Amino acid sequence: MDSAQIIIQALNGLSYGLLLFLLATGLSLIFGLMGVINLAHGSFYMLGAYVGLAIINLTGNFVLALLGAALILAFVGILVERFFIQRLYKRELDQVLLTFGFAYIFMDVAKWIWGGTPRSLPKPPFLNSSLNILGEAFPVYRIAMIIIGLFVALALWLFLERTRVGAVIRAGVDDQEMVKAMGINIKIFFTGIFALGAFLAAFGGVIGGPIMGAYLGLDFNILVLALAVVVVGGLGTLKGAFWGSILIGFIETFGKVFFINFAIVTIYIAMALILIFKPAGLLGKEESY
Amino acid sequence: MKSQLFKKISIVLLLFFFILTAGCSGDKTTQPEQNPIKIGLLVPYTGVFASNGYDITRGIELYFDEIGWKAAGLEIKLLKEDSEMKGPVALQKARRLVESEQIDILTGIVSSSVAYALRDYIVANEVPLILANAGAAELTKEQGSKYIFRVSFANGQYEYPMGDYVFNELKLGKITVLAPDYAAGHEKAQGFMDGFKTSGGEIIQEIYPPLGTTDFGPYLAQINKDADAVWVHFSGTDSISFVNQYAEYGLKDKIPLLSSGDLVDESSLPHQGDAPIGIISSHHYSAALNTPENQKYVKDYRAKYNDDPNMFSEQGYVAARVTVEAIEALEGDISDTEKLLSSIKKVEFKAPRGPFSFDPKTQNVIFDTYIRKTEKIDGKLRNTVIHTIPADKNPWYLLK
Repeated sequence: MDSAQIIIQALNGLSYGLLLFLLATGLSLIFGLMGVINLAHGSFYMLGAYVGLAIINLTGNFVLALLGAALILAFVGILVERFFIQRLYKRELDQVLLTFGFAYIFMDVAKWIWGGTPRSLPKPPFLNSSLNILGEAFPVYRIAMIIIGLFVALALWLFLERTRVGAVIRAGVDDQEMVKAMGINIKIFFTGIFALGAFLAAFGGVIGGPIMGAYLGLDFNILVLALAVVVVGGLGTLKGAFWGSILIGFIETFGKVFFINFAIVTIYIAMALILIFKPAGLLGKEESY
Repeated sequence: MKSQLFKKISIVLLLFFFILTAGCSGDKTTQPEQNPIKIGLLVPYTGVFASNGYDITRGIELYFDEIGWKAAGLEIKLLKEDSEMKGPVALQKARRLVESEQIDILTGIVSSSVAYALRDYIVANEVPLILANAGAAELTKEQGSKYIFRVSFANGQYEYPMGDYVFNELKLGKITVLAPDYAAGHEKAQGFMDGFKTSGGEIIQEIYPPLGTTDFGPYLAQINKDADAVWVHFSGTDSISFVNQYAEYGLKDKIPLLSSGDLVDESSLPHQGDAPIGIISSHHYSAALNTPENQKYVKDYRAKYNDDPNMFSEQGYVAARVTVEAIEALEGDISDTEKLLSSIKKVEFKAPRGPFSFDPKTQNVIFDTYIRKTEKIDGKLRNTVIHTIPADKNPWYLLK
């Protein structure tokens, strides 16, 4: 492999990793704050892709599809959280099973509306070209994915580190009882973070749509990767989700280069190694209770 | 908290595997009729090959429409099931069709893996099976059976003769091969490579991404730049992602793309933009064939579905016709399975693809192989036949 190829593969890994980041941040923050592993998180990603495709077919506008799908799924997230998950407050395992049920309902809904044929989202025309990098062509769309991913990461960082709401969320991840003792209604934040997670997942579904497509089963395929990111990166922190995503993106991509027939296993091996040597994840919070 | 997380994840992963492998059951209701002919159709309506499943169904229904859903005066009942492209699910659905519906003939089957999974059950239960796509090569070789017929193709059957064409006619000597990592992908790639190497060519690289890959980026960046051409087999949605991304990564203008006909089948062309222009492929069918049989077929198909036919719909059409002709030769008396089997074996007619018949020894189809070039004519992509390799000149038939 020459240096140009390594750069191309690194860009592949980076664009893939940042796509995972959109999904994994929500999963990680929801778990950090609410103690729920949201197994319907991949469904928000998949439904985001389907809804985005429907909006593109209707309007022909990719940006509109991106924001529209994210907002619609954020609203669905609010409904799921307010009317179902909140009823099982403090019963985390029941909540996990509930989200698992939702994952299946969402899959059936998608099958009912869009059928079983996998679909692919068209790229926005202004990003549908290739760039020359050291004599190798690289799709402009993937560069755009990298830029958008970095931009979202920066925006989230500013939100969590520099705003009052962000401070409450961080405090809630660290010590929820204390937050409540200070008179803050944490339940509002639960709904908010769940909606934000759904928003980001659906956003990722549309961004990833031209490459990953929209098909039944995408929800679980992508969820497993997001779980891997959370285990590797550590829970409840933006930094953990960010570096975990990039690491998994690189492992997955270079796994396909060096261990072509064992590419799927490389992620699980990385996961197992990190669970053994760094159980809290690379950047996870140490025991916080 | 950490150990709790780990426990939760483990539970979740276990649940995944349990539910994903368990599959689900069909829900058709039946009403008893006076001895209709029951034909079971098992194809995927979900997953990478879902569109192929729908196309086969269309071809079958087009033929049954033509003959008024009657064979030798008996009503034809078509019982459709979704194999979901998973062996265990397909087996369960086949069991339902055979045991509760008492079907007379089973047809369909898109994926080779599913075909292999069904093989023993079909043979043990003595159900005539007419494969309408799955090319699982062994099923008409060592694992062949008098119950198994194939109207589509064996993997390698139209790939093997292309090897000679690429080396001796196109004068390309060094090839990189890509195909999906499952039964048919390996068999088809092997077929092409055997034919190509026998003619004197050299395979410099083989890459097998998983079936259903959506992101080919990491694989495309690995392609050896010394290759004179890249030969690939991808089908269904894989073919759409692959052809588009091959162009996006700038390879279309650098290394010519050769393929099995599946890659640029008429079912994929509308979704591939201009990316497939110039691809040379080998196949047993092209909707652009200039025979009266095909022209009629294309016209009828367009009239019914307002769409172009493709390899899958043609295979479904042929499978349906084989079934009906076999039943009519017996004047509708199919109570004796042995007689039905030998009647199927004798069916011969002019299909849209060209002359159709079974090889009596293997019960696999015999056909001419077409070398096609994908071109844009009047704003529409089509696979123009540029060379024909007659069945008796195809060395693949001598390999058995």
